[in-house]
Amino acid sequence: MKKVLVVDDEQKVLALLKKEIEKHDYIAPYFAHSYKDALNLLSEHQGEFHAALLDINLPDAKNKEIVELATFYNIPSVILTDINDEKIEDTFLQKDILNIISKNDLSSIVCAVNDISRTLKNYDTSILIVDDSEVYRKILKDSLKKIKLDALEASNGIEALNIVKNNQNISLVLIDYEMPDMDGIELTLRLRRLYKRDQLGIIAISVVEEQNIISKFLKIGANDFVNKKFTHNEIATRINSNLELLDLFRQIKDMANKDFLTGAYNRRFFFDTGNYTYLKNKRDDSPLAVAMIDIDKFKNINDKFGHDTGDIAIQEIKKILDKNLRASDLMARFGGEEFCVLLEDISYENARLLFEKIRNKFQNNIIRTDKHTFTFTVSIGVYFGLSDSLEDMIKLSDEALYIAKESGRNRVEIKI
Amino acid sequence: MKKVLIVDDSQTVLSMLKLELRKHNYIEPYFAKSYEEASHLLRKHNGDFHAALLDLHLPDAPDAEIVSLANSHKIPSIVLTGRVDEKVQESLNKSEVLNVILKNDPSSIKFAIQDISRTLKNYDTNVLVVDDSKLYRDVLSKSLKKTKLNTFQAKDGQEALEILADKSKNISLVITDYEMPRLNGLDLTIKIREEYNKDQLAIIAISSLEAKDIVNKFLKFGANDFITKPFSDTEIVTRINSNLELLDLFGRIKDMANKDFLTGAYNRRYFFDSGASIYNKNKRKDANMAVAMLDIDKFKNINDTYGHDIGDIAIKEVKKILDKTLRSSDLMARFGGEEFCVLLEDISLQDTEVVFEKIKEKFEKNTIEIANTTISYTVSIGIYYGISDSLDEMIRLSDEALYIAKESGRNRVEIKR
Repeated sequence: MKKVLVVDDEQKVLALLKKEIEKHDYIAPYFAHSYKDALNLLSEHQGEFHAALLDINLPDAKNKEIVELATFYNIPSVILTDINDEKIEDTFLQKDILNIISKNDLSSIVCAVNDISRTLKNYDTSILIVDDSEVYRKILKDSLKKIKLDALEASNGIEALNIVKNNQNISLVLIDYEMPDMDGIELTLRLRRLYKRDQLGIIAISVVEEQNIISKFLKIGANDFVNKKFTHNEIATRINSNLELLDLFRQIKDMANKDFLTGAYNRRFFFDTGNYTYLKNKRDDSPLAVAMIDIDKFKNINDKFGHDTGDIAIQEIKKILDKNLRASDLMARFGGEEFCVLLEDISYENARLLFEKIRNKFQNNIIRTDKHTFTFTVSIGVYFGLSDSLEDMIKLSDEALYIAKESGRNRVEIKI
Repeated sequence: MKKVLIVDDSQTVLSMLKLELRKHNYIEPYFAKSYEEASHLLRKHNGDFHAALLDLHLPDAPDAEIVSLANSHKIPSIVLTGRVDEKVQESLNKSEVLNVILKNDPSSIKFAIQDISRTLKNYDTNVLVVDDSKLYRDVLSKSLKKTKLNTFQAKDGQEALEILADKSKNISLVITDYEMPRLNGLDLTIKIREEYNKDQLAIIAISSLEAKDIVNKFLKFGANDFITKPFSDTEIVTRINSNLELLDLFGRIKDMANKDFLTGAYNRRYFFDSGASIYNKNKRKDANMAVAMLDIDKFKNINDTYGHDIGDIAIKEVKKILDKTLRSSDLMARFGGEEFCVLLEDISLQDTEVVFEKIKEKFEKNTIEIANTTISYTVSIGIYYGISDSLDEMIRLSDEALYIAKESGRNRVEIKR
């Protein structure tokens, strides 16, 4: 959740904005009716607002003072106006104004909130600029800063490939066409061998009017093309629009790969990704740990407190595992109250310590819902080593889990 | 499956193409190593080829004669060649060649097949061209038809919306001009986005260079892409194909989310998402619906006797038979195991009974032959007909009917009202 300041003196507009904002569950809006209200909110939540939506004509501040105020606090803002004023365009050039939108109908409200929503997401989005000219990189970087995107830089193709490989969270790469050694076309080709269009966005940039260069880039897999004589507005809109599309892809993929109740990965994703991890480690002959985790006497929780509480217990497993596993560990809900984890690059001793720690965490974890307070324990079966297949390793960890249950529960049992 | 003619005299190139073709299971390739072989295949499959991939320099036709041959059969062609000299280039310009790809590195094979694959998909893809100038509409439509896309035309935004409202036209992409009477391109984009997301329907806006700021507006209000006039044929075609490819990618990922891996039927979640709106619509009209729960009889026996692989085949067979018998507007999903659920609207009680009795009989008469085993099985079907308080409730009632069908001896249809 990120805080957003919303200022408008018209109750009707505020109501429309509120309704639209509710569609975005990570926006925490704070509403102000006047310059004075806004000032109070700003001093109360100093440094906490990530964006603002501002009506520039307020009863107690008729001369765009509200924009100056937001700029003073360095808050990126979208301006809503009902006046068509050339001078407003000048204000636009100020560093923290994202967009100026005339509030003529509902679609302008939608557009304003979309701008805010994109900006909030941009705070957590990383992109890469690839250009051999430092000057151009700087121009682009400044443009991106305005829409709150923090960009990494590479001055050539090789450097770019390395940065992308080492930063899995890069969403988009901006690639200049004309570069020495490896040109933009070659870099696009190489990146597309590693990442599909829904995994990594590529926007090609070129001054060259060379015939069919746009088609060439699009054919080999660039998502978009921008002429190097771009305006700030143009590049910002193209980038934001491509990032939105990538987010849409991610949302739909999450639907396919994640479990609805907990948000953990599902069984299919576990096997898709896990098999790749398994094969990689099989080639290197390095051992893996597979752990099967199950709530002890889960039926009791369901019977005693009802299914809703049972669901909360299951969600709790995901939370505790998330907190204690490394980001690179693969964890999935296999069904019911059962989770499976695959760990690479870990020693036997560390695997044992880790799962003992996790077991202990559950034992000491008290869950308080509106109606009930309860605790539960888990049993964990681990297979450490490298057997014939991932399926087989899971089967072996399942056997270990069975032993853990049979020997009294609330135990970690490791099979080698 | 669509037939594609592939002509190249190099065995290496042909085997690389074959390898790449494996990724596309809807392409049925026919290979020729010479002009002679190609013309034989063309005669044999008269009019059956949907696309061709051609090498320009063949031993028995060294000067791109193969292109004229494909042209005379009206087959859209992609040229994959080592070199293009001026004389050949001239004849290519006049012909119906969609693209010329140079064999300069391994990825050229991939791109050639990609072009073929796109062309085949275009046969079943519908695009709407919106422009107030008839001349522009016609020119654009002509370029699109060359890539085998089906085109519709609208003279302004208003007419475009009317065409889109006809869902049977199944439009994937709209290309729209900006300035038009009645409803301009920007307002059209806003209206379209109220109903369709970017992953469901793509919009490409076209406008003159002068209105540069309009680009940003279009993209902000939900256009997928933007092209400035004047544009070349290649540019517009590439932009369109590239956007269509992205839509396909969205479609494939959505299928992963909504469909069951084993059978390709929709999954439970999709059934409830999609079924809820169908239920609400009919509830408002107070119209009756049918919910049917279908289950293989003694499925455990099949698994125990023949193993899980055969059990899986039996489950896939349920999907196939239901697909063949149900209307395309009926919603069918696999609920898990050997259990399927179907939701039908606009149907009478009597027709419901007829449909499901027919389905029951189909299973009864159906035998599945796998390797050296022949299996057959029956199904029981429980139906609730009417409109109760919720979709969940209707499913529950059909489940009760299924229970009765099983209890009264299986291989039965039981309807509850």
